[in-house]
Amino acid sequence: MDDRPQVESALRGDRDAFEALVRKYETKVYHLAFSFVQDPATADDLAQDIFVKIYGSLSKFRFDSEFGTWLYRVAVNHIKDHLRKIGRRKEISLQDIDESRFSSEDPVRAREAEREDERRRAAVHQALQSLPPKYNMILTLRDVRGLSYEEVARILKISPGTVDSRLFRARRLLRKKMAPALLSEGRAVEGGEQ
Amino acid sequence: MNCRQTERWILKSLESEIDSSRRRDGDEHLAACPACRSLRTEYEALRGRLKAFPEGEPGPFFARRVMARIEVLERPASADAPAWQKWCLRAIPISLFLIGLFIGGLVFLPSADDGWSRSEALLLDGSNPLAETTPYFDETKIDDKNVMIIFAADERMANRRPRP
Repeated sequence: MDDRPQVESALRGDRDAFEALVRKYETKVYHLAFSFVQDPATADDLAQDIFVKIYGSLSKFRFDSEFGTWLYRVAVNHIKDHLRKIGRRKEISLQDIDESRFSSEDPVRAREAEREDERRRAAVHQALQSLPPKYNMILTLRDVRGLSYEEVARILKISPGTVDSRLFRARRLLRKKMAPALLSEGRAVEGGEQ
Repeated sequence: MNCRQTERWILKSLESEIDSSRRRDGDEHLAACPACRSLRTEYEALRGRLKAFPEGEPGPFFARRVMARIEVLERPASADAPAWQKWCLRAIPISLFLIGLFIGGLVFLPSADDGWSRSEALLLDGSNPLAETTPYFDETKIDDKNVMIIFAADERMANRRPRP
């Protein structure tokens, strides 16, 4: 659906119109933030900050792209700033994993499996965070969020060709960082399938 | 197809359909190259992990919370101030006006005491203003001299000034 009428109403000071835009995009923006920070509270705060920022800079939106693309671009830049502020190489230890998620009523094996999942997720997230920002961004947008090449190109303001080459380098770098863990996991999967 | 080309081929094949001739080339290389086979295993596992990132949902009343923040930001700062602060804010321009009026009065209104000082009057008369003080310094008794200087210091106390 075209957002132009709602954006124009919001520009005239109609708060309900802006609220409708927030409702439409809140999940997408939250998911984007969560993909980068992997923490519900921080993702919620970031998503709120992004919408407040969007409201403040709505007059800068020139309608030369879709509102959703512009919103994503602002969101990506805001998240980038946030990551820079907190320091990209923050360690994610297993102590950061919320133990309360593992209910004592669950069977032990299920708990262990869930814990293992969480451990793997934390490891991938940590490896992603340790990449240079441009690789972290592009991998998150494409491989985590599943955006198309064209969408990624529009959001990052680069050509689809650059998206392709940058993605290749980013995946290669991430694989190198995670190689030992990935190989053992791959073998385990192959072994399980046989 | 060499190993580097195969790496690109693996990544492409994980994302989209590859035409049959290219697929055959890649498959042939993989069959002969254990390093590239393990590379594919790693990329598959990596892709699986990235895709499995949890998403979650924004907290309850997300939109309402955003709008409440916007409302607070847009509200003028004085709206939150207590009544006494509002009165203080209103009193500032009035106080500034009154202070300006007072200073203007001091500067522009003619002074009530616009007469000449004693020294100026003596100079205008062509007299030596120092002639009056000479006897004080000529006094030989030190106590008398000090008392005379103290009294002479205040011209407004001229009537109480002792005559030499």
